[in-house]
Amino acid sequence: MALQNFSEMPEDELLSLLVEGNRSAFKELYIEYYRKIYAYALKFTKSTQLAEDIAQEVFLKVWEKRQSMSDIRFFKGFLFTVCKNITLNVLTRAAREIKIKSLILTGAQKFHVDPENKFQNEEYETLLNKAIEQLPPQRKLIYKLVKTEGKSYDEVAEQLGITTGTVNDHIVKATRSIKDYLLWYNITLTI
Amino acid sequence: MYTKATQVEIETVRMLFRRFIRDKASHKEIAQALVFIQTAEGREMYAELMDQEFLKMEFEDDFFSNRHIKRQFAALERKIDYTVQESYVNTSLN
Repeated sequence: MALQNFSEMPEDELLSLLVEGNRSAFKELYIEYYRKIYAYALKFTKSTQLAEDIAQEVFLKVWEKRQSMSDIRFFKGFLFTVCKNITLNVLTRAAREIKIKSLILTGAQKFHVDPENKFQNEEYETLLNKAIEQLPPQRKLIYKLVKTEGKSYDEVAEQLGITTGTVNDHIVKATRSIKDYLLWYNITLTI
Repeated sequence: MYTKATQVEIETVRMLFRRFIRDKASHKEIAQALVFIQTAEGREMYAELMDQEFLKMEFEDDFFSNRHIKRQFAALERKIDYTVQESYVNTSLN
């Protein structure tokens, strides 16, 4: 019997083999869709552990119902529908089951976008840029090369044909100037 | 047709669910959302929002390596085999 290359096989052929109980075809479909199903479950549960469990449950259902897969016209749609139902079941249980609830709450914390914090960070960035912009040209250039581009004092000194001591002097004065500028806004320099 | 007050409540719950899905909900709001989702109406509303959000979803394929997925598949196969074995034992006993 010729060896079958499952990774290059069209989906409908893989599905036909799945109906017959072919594990390799099942594996290929699993590899193809696992990430998407996981991402979907994660989006609506916020928990990586729940998302993994849900994804496994979805494919377990596919295997159990493999004999009826020949009736499925749109496999991807079928997978997402099963995933949606399992996700809803898990979420429905969350209010009663402490473990699920805690997984969702812990997971959600990782994704949570705090608008106030985000605004403060953006505001800080804007003011810091303004503070840098008001530096004299040479000092601004040296400050950006060291602080933004991450170059060493020696590299900057060599690049600009000045001594390391001069670079250091510019950085000290630039930092002091930026600190003073930010203090007007009650902000402390954090870099 | 819902009364105006009920309509406002529905909108509030919908907003809560949306905040949860978009990672904007606080700890307290998430706990509230999980209570609402237990009801038939809440579940239906969340399901509708899932469909709406799904249309906007962009799937990034960088969650896992293929190696990780193959390991997950091996775990699933073990589960399947165990279930088959269990059902065989149960059938034999009956």
